[in-house]
Amino acid sequence: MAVIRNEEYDHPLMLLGPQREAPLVRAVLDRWGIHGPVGLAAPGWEEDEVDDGWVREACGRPLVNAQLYELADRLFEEDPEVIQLLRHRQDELRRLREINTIQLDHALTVARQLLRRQHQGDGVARQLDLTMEHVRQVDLEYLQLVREVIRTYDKRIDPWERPSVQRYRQRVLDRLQSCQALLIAGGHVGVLLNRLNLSRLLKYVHVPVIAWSGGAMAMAEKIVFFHQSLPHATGDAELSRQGLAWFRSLVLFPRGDQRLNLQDPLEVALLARRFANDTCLVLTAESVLEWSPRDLRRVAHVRQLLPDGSVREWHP
Amino acid sequence: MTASTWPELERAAAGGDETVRALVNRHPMPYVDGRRVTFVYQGDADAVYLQHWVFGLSSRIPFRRLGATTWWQLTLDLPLRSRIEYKIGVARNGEETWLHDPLNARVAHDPFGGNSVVQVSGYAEPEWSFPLEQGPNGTVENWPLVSRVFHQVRDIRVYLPPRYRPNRRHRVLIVHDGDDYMRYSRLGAVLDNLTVRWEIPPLVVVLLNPAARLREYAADRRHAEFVVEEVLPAVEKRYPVISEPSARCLMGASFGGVAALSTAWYYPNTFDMLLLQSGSFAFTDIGQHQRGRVFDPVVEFMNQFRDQIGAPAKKIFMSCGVYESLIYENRSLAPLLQKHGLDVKFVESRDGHNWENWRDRLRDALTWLFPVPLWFYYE
Repeated sequence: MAVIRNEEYDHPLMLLGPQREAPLVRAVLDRWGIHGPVGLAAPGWEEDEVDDGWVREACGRPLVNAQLYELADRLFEEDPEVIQLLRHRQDELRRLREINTIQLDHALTVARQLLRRQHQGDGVARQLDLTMEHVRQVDLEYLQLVREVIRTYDKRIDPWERPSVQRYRQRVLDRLQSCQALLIAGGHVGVLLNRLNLSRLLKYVHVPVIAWSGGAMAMAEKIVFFHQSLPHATGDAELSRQGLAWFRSLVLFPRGDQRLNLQDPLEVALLARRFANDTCLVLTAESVLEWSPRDLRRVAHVRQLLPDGSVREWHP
Repeated sequence: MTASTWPELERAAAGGDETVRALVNRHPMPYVDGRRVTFVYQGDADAVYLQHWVFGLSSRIPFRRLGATTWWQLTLDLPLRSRIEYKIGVARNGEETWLHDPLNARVAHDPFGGNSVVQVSGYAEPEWSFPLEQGPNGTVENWPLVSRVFHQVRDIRVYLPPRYRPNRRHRVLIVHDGDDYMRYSRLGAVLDNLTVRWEIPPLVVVLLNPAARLREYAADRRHAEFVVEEVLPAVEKRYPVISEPSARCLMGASFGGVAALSTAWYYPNTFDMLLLQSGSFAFTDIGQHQRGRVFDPVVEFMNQFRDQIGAPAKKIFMSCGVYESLIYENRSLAPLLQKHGLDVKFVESRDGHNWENWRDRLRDALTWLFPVPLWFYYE
């Protein structure tokens, strides 16, 4: 399956897995010949955005924190209507999510039962295909509804013209003026996306981008939330919304080695089949994906979920 | 219970002491093969016993001498995923000594010195309980509190999490036997791991240590007053914590569980959450209890409590090992609480009344009591 890079963006992009334990950021920066100061977008850490000491240490260069979260708080104080609109939007998205969960719950239960009976012959395979097609259709329609809600609110917030939002963007850009690359950390992916969308930061910063974990998810077209290893698991994976779409046809599962039940072929098969139009990839602390700027130049330690329930090293 | 022996060991015995030693040196001891566990001891003795604390089994199970050697062995069939603490009893010249198993380096420590541990197939020490090698780690602060209730100065210790921020308001967990939890259940490492993984929010954790445990923790009203009227206000004054019942949890194991439950009962609407591990919830429906005099105030409290449960908290996590004598009391309490409309999660484990059992349940407990929208976090 071809991995498509969005032509709108023409600077190098590097995706990494979780970085806190054994960071690879410095090695990637070295490889790309980036020696000067780098910027950090970490609004996904929310109030902890300023706790960037470990990133400073890990990247070995001067680091400038863009303070997307903190400066957004200042924007909300200056222009409370923006946060009110975002909250209303959140309420609408929550309602859509609840309905979507009800729709998917039954279909995925059926899919699991059919996957268990696959060996019983072609009749089951056909029913399984129909069920998975239904699941994909529900996902697709949900994504369209989410996109519609976001578009409606974007028009009302009007981030291009609204003076308070322009000031917010400018404050962020001023901070990043001298940076030769932008690091995008993980954390709360919803908050991260909100701040990146609100500031339109990536339309203005024309430097290589290194995104890890939740940050890497945010760069994708499709974002899937998941967790199967908690004692109180929160249920089936959930197609959330559209990310920044710097590339298409890849669905990323950072820390999938811990958060997914990779030992269970049924669960692996279910995910791979549900997102059959995409390539499902597990990112671990060792994973690296690099585009330069259009070609996928380097792929290391990235594993793919396959429809037969296996997990293999990915060779695009 | 006793199982067919380890055939290789039987064969080695025919070759004498050194052949057995060679075999034993090739394997971790005790030798675990699925459910079958073989304990081995070498030495001069009149008799050798397995001394353990599994309720329902004879607490002393004899070893058998291996032929004419100085080796002794005992093979047991134990449930999968079990974790059992034991000592080896060696009888010689009319005296008996209890030892840690000299062939087993795995020891669980506790205030009484500790026990050897055997892990049956399927059990694994949780990876989230090991100290984070590269941090970040929480810190512990100490400060004295002059207690009017106890007429003495008490040392209060407070764990502040890796993501502690003075400008953020935190939820509070008050832990009975706090230092023991830190030392024997690796509570600090557990909190570090769960916080760093965003599985729980950063918590301010108050570590209480009693002066006279069996009295203060036995549903003593003075203890409840100390916690609510003295410790809690002092913590709220020193740290940015949320001063609401919904942000407070009391926790304890064994008698500490009684202390947590009774404190919440004496002061309703103060704590919304309780974490009770192997609580010593002894009670009597009729007649006298058989647990010794230290339990008198506990039984009196539990009888009263079971009669009039009220609303000590809203959400209660309970755990107990199935090898504990207290399993009956805990199993009986959980549905009673649920019947009164409390949100209760009760978890059993194949383990005994010990700190590592309590450690192994902490992730389940803390993530249930302090849920975070982990669904959205990818760090």
